[in-house]
Amino acid sequence: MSQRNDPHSDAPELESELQAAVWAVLSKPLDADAVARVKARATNAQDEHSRDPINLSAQDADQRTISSNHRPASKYTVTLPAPFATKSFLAKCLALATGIVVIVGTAFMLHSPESLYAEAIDQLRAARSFTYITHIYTEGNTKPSETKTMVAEDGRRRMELAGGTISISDSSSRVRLVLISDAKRALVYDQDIPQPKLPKHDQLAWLENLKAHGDKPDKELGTKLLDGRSAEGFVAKQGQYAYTMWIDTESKKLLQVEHEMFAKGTSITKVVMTDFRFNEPLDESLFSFNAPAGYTVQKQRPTPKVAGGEESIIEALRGYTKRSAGKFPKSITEWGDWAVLFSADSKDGQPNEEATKVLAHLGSILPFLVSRSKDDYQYLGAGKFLNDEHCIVFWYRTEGEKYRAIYNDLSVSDVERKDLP
Amino acid sequence: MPNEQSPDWGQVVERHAERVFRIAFRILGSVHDAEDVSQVVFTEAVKMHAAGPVQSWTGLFVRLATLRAIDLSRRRRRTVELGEGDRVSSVGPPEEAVGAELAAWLRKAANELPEQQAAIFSLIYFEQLGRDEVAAILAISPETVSTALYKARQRLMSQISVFNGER
Repeated sequence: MSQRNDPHSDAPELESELQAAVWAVLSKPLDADAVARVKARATNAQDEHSRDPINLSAQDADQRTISSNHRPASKYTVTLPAPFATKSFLAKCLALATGIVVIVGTAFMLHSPESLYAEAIDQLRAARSFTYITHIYTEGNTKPSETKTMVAEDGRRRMELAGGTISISDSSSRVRLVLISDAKRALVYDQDIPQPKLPKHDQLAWLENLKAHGDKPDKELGTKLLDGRSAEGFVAKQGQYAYTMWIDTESKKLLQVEHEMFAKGTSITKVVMTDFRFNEPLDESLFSFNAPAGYTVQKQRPTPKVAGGEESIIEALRGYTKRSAGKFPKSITEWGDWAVLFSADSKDGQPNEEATKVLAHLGSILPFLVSRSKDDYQYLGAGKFLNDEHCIVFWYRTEGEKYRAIYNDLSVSDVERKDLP
Repeated sequence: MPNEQSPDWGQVVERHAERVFRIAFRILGSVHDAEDVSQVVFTEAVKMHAAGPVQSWTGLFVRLATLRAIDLSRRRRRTVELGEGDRVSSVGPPEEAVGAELAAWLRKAANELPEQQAAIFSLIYFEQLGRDEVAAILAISPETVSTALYKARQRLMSQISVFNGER
């Protein structure tokens, strides 16, 4: 049993997968507002107790020991851990998905029926640099995670995620730098090595589609109060995508854009964009591809080119089942299983070349699915194995009434609708 | 000079609130739930403060926060969910999503351990306390801590194996 190099702990080193999970838990910063609320309520707890004093019985006194199985606590001195310092393994954990760049397009078409709408659209069309906040809502959680996005005039993009990770992309939407703030670690993606061109559906595709489209919404929602401001709502549709927009009736500024998740099999239920700021000066340093001073730099293996689409689904599943004794993953759009499984392949914080390729295939799946209606595909591999009786693990509609099916032996064929599960 | 046994309540809160919240948050993964547990912990603690000197506020709060958070987690009987502190966008850097899923898995698995193992694992790896410190907090022997920790690690590793289909 080895010892950690931590003067405050003599706990054994964990196996790599478990260590990765521990650091994933530790990587989340505390919510300072929540701590302040705890302090406020705790302080009031004494006042409330004073107003309604409780005469402690002998039983209550015993509660000091918390559990009847525990002896009363003896006085001792606890050396408090320093404000937690993450370690390089955090970077290793977060670097496991090297090679995956998943850009989900949010095509956005706006129509402008009236001057209010038209002015908001014009503002978007005239935008050169801009910032906004994306709120991601997921099943079972009322509070969303938030990402702040900043876009420079030349198209470089900076995303600041809730966990303290910052990603900076070039004007072609290729990630160039990932900063892990807690660990002071910088993951650098080589600019000189040709990177695969990303799928057409980019997070900012909505803006380009807006500029190219007409000026009438599909539906008007009327007026409501939004964050204390009078806002008029509209729904705009483009193919299978539907966006709800709210525009400030006084300032005529865009207040909020909302849409559901465009792919099945994820836990995301709703995406809301707010706090739009257009053409405000943005410091050049925000978009630098150079690691800040004090950061440990780790060069990342370049993202391999992958075919995308059906081929990538097959190769991703092949790579997964190779490591899982033939068992298919629960999902091809939620990456938890993949993270745990591929963590065993990491060395010095990066997966090996073969694993990187598999993860690149995985990363290309979501854009492929987002480009389709949710009714036009289905992943059925959860709980299935390679050596099960011949069955379909994934199907999708190609065009018209033509379908393709991937089987549990990773073969693929054309099928008819009636043959689908 | 106030001693640790009979400090001003405000000082107690100021000194221990962040730790209580942190412990609960690491175990539960939810800011909302961590606040609820913190409220319970301080409500219990204020009764004790009113009843007389507390021998060790640090030990009391660490123990209460850990056990109450584990209690809440078991009552919720969550499946592998992400706390709102974990949820990230699948449209952002995948590294973030990977970490979030790992954190959710570990919280669920750790909170399903026997209570003592869950508490010890959380205090050792989430709160980064030493074996002797944990032993004093939970009023058990350091050897018991080591044994329980070993069992917890073995069980968690086997769960990862099951998770990966390596049975």
